[in-house]
Amino acid sequence: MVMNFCTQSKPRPLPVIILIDTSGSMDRVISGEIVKTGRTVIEDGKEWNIVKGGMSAMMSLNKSLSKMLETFKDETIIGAEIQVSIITFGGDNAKIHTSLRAVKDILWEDMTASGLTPMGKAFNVARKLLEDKSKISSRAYTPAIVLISDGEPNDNWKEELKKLLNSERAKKADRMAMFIGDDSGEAMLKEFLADDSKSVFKADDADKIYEFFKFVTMSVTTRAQSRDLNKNKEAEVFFKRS
Amino acid sequence: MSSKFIMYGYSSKGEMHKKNNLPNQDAWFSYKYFFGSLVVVADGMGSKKFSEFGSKMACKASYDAVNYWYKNKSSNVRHLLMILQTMWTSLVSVKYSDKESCSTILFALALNNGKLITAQLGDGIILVNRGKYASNLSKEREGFGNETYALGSTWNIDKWIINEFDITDDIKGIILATDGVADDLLKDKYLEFSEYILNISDEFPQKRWRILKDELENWPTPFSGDDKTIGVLKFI
Repeated sequence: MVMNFCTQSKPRPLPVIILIDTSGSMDRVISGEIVKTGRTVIEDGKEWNIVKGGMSAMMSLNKSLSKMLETFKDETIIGAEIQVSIITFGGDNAKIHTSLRAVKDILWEDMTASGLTPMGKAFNVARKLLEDKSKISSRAYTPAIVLISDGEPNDNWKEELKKLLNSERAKKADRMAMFIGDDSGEAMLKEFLADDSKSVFKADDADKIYEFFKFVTMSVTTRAQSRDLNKNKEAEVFFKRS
Repeated sequence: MSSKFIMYGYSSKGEMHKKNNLPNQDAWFSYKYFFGSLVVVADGMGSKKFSEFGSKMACKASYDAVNYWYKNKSSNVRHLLMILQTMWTSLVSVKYSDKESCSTILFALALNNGKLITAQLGDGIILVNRGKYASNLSKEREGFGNETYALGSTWNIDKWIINEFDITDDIKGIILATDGVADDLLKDKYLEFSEYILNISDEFPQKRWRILKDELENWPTPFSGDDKTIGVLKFI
């Protein structure tokens, strides 16, 4: 076998881009016993009671996400290499918490929550990443984008979402979304999905957050193992399972 | 101008289909008519139920369509493609729905009158080796690796990539490959790749087959799961 000289040395990538709300409200306790301290704080435009104990949405996300990455690392997948990028949005900006790379090369660092919810900025970062062929080549499988938020974005998210959904490459991504909380704020996550056949996953405790990441893990590994890479698009341009 | 050709090729079932106990959904075919030579490769779209049948019928439809087209004295390649699409639809519809049998198709037809025609619907690659360089006659992908046009997905002839040119002495050969091969090739190594594949023609047919089989079944790109097919038209 002598073809090494003319072939790619890296597997075909399957990019997974995860957008995570790290605004102050993600520090809300969602599970476990708590003790009120009697103090309050204004964060993410609301007043919050400061408590001891319990598990916050952010802690639960850190735990579930790192577990998902470990599961990806353990999967032996024929035909693709899962690559992950994590984009967080909290405070004034969206930032790349983990740049797009093979999951085996990711060393997990916990995220922290604070400030407002600049979701539009996260859409902007995600769109630019999806449009950048030097980062996600046309050899890659159709990417997945996962959005996790407790809603109430404070910036021009609608305009940035429109740009994301109209972008020739970005609009093709397979989108999944989880709403954290028991409010009715998931309507905007439904707009992100832009697909009536899909629903927003709702989580109001740590177990449900974990369950969502199990769903994402299964969805991504199943796509990578190519039983049905894209069954939701029946346009003139067909999507192939290899 | 050379009018003598050697044709060879090989199709290898990918790891994914081996693991899932599914058939190879690629196919290839070559045929020497009294008026020219034809090589075809086709890649059945795995998301479709009967794509294995679709790719085989793409080869059969190419053979029939070229025959019919030549006998009716047409020289318009668009006519040939329309006949091919119609014949493919008729062939697959006998057993299944065309929407469930989608297949990409790439072919090269070298005519004894010195004309060379290549056509492609969907992904994969057609390389022309001209001695000092190799030209890629296919288009760069716009979207992602699992999107393609195919027979059964479109009737629009404009979606085909068509090339017609004279067979000149500098043309050493044409290589057709499905995306399982094409997507893993380094763009700056097309010449070296095509030279290597064309040089196999110096071997006896059995050895040619063995070399291609070994190369495709032991493909160096890690975790490469696709079916892989190469078809070659070598000018001698």
